Amino acid sequence: MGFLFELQAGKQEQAAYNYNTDINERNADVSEQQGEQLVFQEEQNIVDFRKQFDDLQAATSQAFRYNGWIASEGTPLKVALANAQEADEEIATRRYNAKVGRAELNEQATQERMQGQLNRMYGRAANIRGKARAAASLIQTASSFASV
Amino acid sequence: MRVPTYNRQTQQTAKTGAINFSVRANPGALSAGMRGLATLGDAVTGAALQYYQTETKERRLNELTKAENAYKVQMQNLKLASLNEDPNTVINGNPSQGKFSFERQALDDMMKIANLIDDKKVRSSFMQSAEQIMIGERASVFQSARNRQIDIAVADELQAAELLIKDAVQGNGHQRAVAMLELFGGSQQVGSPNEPPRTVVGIFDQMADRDLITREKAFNLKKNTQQRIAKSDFRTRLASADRSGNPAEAAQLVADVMDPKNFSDMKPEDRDTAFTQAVNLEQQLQKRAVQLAEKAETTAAREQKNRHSDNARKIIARIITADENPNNERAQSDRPTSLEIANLLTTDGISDAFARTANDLINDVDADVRDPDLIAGIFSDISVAKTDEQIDAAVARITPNMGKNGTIPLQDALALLRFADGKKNKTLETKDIDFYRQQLDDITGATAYRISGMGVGEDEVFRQADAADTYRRLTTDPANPMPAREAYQMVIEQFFRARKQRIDFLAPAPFLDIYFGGKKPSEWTAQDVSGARIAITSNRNLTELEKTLEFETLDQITKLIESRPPPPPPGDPQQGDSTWKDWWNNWWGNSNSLSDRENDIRNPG
Repeated sequence: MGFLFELQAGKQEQAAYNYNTDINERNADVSEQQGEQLVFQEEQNIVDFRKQFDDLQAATSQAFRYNGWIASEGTPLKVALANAQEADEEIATRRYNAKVGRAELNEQATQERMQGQLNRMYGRAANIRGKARAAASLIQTASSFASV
Repeated sequence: MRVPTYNRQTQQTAKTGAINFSVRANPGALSAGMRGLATLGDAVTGAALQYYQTETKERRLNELTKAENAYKVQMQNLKLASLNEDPNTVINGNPSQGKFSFERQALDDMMKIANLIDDKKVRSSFMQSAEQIMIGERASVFQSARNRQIDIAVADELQAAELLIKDAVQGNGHQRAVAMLELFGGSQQVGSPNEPPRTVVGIFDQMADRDLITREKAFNLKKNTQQRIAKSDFRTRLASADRSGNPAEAAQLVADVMDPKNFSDMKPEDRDTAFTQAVNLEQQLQKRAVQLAEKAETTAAREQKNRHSDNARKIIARIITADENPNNERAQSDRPTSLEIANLLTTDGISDAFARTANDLINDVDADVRDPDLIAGIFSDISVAKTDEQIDAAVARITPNMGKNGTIPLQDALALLRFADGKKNKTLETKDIDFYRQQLDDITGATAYRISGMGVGEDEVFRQADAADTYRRLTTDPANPMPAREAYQMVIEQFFRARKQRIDFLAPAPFLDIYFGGKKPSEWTAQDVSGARIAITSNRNLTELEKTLEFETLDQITKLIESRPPPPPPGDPQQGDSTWKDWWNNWWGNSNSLSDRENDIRNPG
């Protein structure tokens, strides 16, 4: 009778591994989704930043004009361009960081998937081991019967 | 107014977007399946190997067991055969007869069986175990053979000892001396007396010297043999005394056995038994001597009695023959004389009592009266007697009642004596007489009367006695005895007719027809009796017995006639008239009994 328990033990072990695999899959999906969410959120922040930066440029132009400067030429223009350059770099940096964060989350997803694949392989091995043990138990039992 | 400027706020991350994977493959877990399969493979292999191992082991064991069993059977056969073989041949073999020793045969059988085994391991195992078997059996067989060798030697010696014992017990003096010397040893003088005597070792000590038996066994055998010889000596003396029949010899044996010097090797308990046997023999011999003397005396008395009886019977027969044949010279010349009687008395041929009776009979002095009851009693005693002694006792009552003043006539005496002879000789006629006498007694009621003692009336008793007497006289008539069956039938007919006619004696029907013309008993007259007496006397065709019987019948009829009341004188009430008594009985209703009605019918007048 022992072979039946060995067989069932293998199946249960595989089921446990499969369960863990499903969790890994979900974690991977979550990580990917977080990565996308991170990029998306950063784009929203960039849009906000652009508004804020436009306000800053307007204030700068206003300040120049208040000081009597022509805002669209000369130094005010350079300042405006410098601000714009800084803003672009800010945006580029933010995008870069977001992409790096997404890549990192993707990496985590990949790791989870790899763990899932391993768990699935573990499950199959456990199943095979259960079957083998069951067969061995069966053979031992039969051998014992035969030797009686 | 201050002009705001913008400087980038966000620093570029140092991260690369990649991370270090912490995931690690577990080799143990990954290889678990293969390891399970490996375990399975091991199990399959192990099971297969175990099966093969078991099967091979079983096959080899089976083959080995078969071989061992075959060898054991062969060993048993050899062992059994060795029991019937000469022990020397069993141990050493006998090449001259082409016979091998037990060990050689066992080895040959071992090799034969081993050569039939293909498996080397089995063959090797068999050789080892077979050798152990052979060693064990060899020890047993050799031990048995040696024991048999010893047994044979012991048996030979014991047989020789038995022969010596036989010589010691049954042989003459010289044989006994030699046998005793060889049995128990001692010194024997051989040659001149000056030479030292030859020392002989006893046979049992020799056996012990040869280790055939132990010293203890030799001692016991020696002692037992001495005791046996002593007992045999005593038995020889006992048998000799018994054969001699001499109580004195037995008494001497008693005295000898009481003395411990005699039969010195006898065990105390055997001596006690011997003493008892000797005493018993002495008593038996004395008793036997007394019995022989008594027997001789008894035999002489019996011979005397038989001699007296035979001679008396012969004398009576000769007297009767002479009386019945008065004209026969030979019968008359053969009549006994007083001188012959005197000679017989002198030579103890007859008794004193019979000598007196015989003298009376010779002088025609027969019994004055006849006593039928006595005669019937003697006849009955003889008839029921079981032994000769009882018959003799009954016969002894005859002679004293014969002759003058006697009650047994000569004819009756002779008839009784002959009946007694027939009874002793167990003749067929006597058996018939006994049988029909018993039947007659039963049917007449005499047996029931004798057993119960209940009264049946005087007339019935007379009829029974007359029936028995008539039957006896008819069947034991010396001249012409009637067969028992015919006598029985005749007497029975007369008995029942007498009962019917209410007469207390028996009378033959032809007799009544001839002499009384068939009249009823009530019509018999004295004239009829006188005429009958004359006719019987003058009838020459009747034998003496028949005449005697018929005269007796006439005497009975005469008594009957005389016993009748005289006829009433004329004028008185005559027979058959009604009386006051009859009237009273009729009125009371008790006179109409069956017997009265029968009487009325029989005597209507």
